[in-house]
Amino acid sequence: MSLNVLIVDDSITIRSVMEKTLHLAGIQTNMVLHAANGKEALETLGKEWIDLIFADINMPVMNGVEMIEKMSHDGLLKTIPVVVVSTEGSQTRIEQLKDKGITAYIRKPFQPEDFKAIVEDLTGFSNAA
Amino acid sequence: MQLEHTQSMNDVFCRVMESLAFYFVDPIDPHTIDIQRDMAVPYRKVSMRFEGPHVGNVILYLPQSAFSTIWANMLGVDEADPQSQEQQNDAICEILNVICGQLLTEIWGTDPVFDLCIPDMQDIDSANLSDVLTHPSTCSFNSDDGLILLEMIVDQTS
Repeated sequence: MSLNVLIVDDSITIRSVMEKTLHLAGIQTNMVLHAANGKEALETLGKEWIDLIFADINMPVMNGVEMIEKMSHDGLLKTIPVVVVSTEGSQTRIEQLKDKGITAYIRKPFQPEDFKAIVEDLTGFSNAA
Repeated sequence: MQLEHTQSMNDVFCRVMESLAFYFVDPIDPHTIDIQRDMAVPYRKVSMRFEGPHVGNVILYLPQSAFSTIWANMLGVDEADPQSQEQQNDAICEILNVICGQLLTEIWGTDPVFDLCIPDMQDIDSANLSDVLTHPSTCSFNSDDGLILLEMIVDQTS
């Protein structure tokens, strides 16, 4: 199963590192798209079918929480799993994010195994190449 | 405050640099450092403010040559590959973002909620770093690119 993945982070470096990490984890992708903030991500979601989103929280223009809230008001978009990838370490805030509907959470710095475990969990089988 | 946080700063900095940038650093006694001898290269200061139950700044002082090394290591590309200063700065800001996030939970645990501000970056004359170097809130590290300083200043605690 090849996934269409959207990576949302204001750092171009970390977007590239995340894409590389997905490949290192053996996750088969059909398409990996990038967005620098929630607004760009929503624009992409309006044009392309995305299976899975990896998104930061602290971003300019539109942050990750606002993006998730807007997605929750759309019948189709709210079905797309959103994995937050952030430096956030506060359990209080992570619980708040889960209440808003995030699927999973990965803390930076991350390892390929972190992505592999979550993709396997979401897809129900090993996606590794 | 600061002496009690030194071990956390050393641990977090070494861990993040190794895992995110494959960049190896060794803590060093600041009293063995001669600024004119050991830091006679252009430096940049990158700071990030945190706000929450404790308010303050985490600040990195790096030789400029470290920027391209860290950028290349993070992306797994050659240092000689085409790159812009903007890309290098982005990589360092992300490193500081991760260091700050890890440091806050290492010191104060996972209950408090902190907001991290946008990093600020500026060139700095390393000759003016003698006070920073010997301050108890500063940790010093040896790297292939020269000495790197990590400072944590807590302004207030609510």
